[in-house]
Amino acid sequence: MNKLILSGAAIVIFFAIVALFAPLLSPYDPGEIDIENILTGPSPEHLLGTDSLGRDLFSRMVYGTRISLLVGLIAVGISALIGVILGSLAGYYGRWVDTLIMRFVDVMLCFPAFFLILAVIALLEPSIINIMIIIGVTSWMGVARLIRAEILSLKERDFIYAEKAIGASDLRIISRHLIPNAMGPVLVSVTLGVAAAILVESSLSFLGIGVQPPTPSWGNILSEGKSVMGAAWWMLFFPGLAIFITVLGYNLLGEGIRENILKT
Amino acid sequence: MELLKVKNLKKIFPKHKVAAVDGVDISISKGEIYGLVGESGCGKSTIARAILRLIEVQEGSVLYKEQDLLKMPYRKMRAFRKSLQMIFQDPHTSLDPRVKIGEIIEEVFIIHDNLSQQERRNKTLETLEMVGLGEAYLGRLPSELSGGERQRVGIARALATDPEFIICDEPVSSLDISVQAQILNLLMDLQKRKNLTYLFISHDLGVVGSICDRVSVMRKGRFVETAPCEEIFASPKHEYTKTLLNASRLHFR
Amino acid sequence: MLKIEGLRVKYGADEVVRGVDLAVKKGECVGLVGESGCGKTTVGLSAARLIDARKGKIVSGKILFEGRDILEFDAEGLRKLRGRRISYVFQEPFSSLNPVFTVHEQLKEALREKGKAQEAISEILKSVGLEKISGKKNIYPHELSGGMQQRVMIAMAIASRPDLVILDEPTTALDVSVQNQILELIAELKEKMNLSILFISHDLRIVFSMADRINVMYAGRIVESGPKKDIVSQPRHPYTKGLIGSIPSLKNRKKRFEAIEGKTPLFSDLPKGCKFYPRCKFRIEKCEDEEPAIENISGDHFARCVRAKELV
Repeated sequence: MNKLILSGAAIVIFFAIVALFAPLLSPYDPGEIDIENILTGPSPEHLLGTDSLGRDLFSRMVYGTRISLLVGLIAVGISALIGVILGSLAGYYGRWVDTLIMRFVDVMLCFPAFFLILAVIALLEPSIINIMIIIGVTSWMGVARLIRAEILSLKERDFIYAEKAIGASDLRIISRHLIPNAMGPVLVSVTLGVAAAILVESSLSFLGIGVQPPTPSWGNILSEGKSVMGAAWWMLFFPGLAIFITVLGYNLLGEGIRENILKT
Repeated sequence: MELLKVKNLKKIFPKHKVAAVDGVDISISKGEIYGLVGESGCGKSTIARAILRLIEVQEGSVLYKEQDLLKMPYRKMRAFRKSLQMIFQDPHTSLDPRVKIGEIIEEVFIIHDNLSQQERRNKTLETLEMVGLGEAYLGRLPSELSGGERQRVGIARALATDPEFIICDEPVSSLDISVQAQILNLLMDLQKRKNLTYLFISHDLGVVGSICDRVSVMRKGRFVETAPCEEIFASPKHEYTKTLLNASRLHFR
Repeated sequence: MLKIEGLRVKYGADEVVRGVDLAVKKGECVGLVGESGCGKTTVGLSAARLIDARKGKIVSGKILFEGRDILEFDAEGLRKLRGRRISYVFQEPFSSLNPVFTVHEQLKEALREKGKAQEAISEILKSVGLEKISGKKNIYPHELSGGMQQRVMIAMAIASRPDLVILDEPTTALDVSVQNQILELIAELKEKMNLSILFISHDLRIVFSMADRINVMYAGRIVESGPKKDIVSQPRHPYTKGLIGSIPSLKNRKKRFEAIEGKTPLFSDLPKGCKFYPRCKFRIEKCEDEEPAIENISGDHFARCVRAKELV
């Protein structure tokens, strides 16, 4: 284990604990409005200050962690699932299956993903679930390519021929032998993907078409913050910092896995 | 009785254009050890894979008990796979690195037989014991085994379906000489005990000569000479056979 | 020419060479044979001081080249020694050649005298049977077959007109028919240049055909050494007997081999007494506790076995 993995994992675990124990950690209800304490700076009562409705920023940040991580993880889960299935089909069967799937990948990559998301959100309503699905279905192409490349080389290995020789079905060969052996690079990609998904969610929420208030997410707290930028620096600083550190954490972890675990 | 008959087998890999296997005929009787000798790239492994339909060929037929394996529908072929098995050259790449030894063998019973978990475990152990490996190996990963032990696992996997015919594709060429002798002994013992039929592929004419009944010498996709082993060694006809014979140093003493 | 005395080499905590004595006389080909992981390559690398210092360390012993201990040489002395007096040929010709330089450029590097390089290179290429490319300057390693690459490696090894060549499994990566040509080339060059050769291989058959003297190595030590004819016709150590019994032969067609049972012990878990004891057919009680010393059998024939004299 090296420093990359350790520091990345520490950050990731820290935020995971925050998300998991949000109700215990937050001193106030994140939706509780307190007209008498609007936009107060950090103080012993309100560790990170309050927002323009007097809600406790610390509590909102803690609950926001939940939303942001949930969106990131589920979106990446969806993209990994699609990517692994399509990538392994393309790699294993080759020929027209491969051509079809890989051209589809090319087409998906032609669209600037962010604008695609914007367009879809404009049509659907921007609920948390829709956001997760949309980020997922627009970000699986990298995983598909990785899996396909791994499987192309794995399927020529003798142990796969041996599986065919003992009469194993394609489904068994793909799911029990090919995918588990191809998961290494995917793990890296997925870890990095969480960081990217959190950024996309924050950007969407910042633009007001992501997670909708009053549900707090780092992005929409940031979005509220921009209108009071001059009066309340904490409204921009803390959510920005949280996004920055989390993204950094997942990236460190991903790079760490790539450099250490996969090489051995 | 003729168990396996290969007729005019042809395989051209699209990338290379030259035929890797160019019209090969083999006929193997029940209980025979048939040797196939040639150097790397001569097409001998391609024949092995083509017989078991692990790769597709352009031309030819593979008759097993008078049924053409190459024209058989997929489902029927899966049932036939039980009686035709293969042992691979490199025990490092022929075992899934993530699967434990016990599970590698057990998988065969999951695929082919409808057994209870306990019955499967018993049969797995029984199969491993046939190749000289005991219970201690069940939970180990391939990377924890020596080359010889892994090759024993490969043999056990092939035996698990209780086959009649086994293709041994260079089963000893990546092993040390003392391990090679152990594995050859094991293969000979099993052949006698179960009246197995082998197609034994090797680049080493010495190895083939010491265990096979008949042998074909292969070069660039074709057979240059086929004869009973004694004959090949006593009076090789083809120049290439003589070269291989010379290289195998059978008369080092 | 070369005399190794009491060589001990450690890789991490494992001592993989546990006291090896070995000598190569002028113009002699000495075989060092053993199975993978017995330490034979480490001995070869040590003899040219090529052990990777990050991984392995020569703990003790002497490596005398023409009477001088090369373990005491400084970097400059070593460079001269390796460039001019000792050459090393590795198993894998392709990975030993630099893919971005032409064969000519690499041979030029290896030459001792740089004057008249062009003629010298053509001459050397001819001597290793590469007339075809001796006139061509722009041939890269990947354009050659494995056999030709190994010929280039041998050309590089003899380009400096060395006295000692260490050949580490020089034909293992090659096809059988090419193997013979390379071995014939080595034998021919040895005669012509009066080379001393340390020939390392796992293949007894090849060592038998090449070497004048043979050393059999097991678990980091020489267990038997002697002139070829003694080893072939009267092996005394049970391991040597087992190795010879493992070689395919036509006399025993369709019969079981007299194989060695069990497997090679790990260096981290060696038996206490004779290292071959657990696998030995001829073991007696005494073997379990004490590793025997190497003993003279007759003339120049030695074996490390307490029963060596009775096992004929």
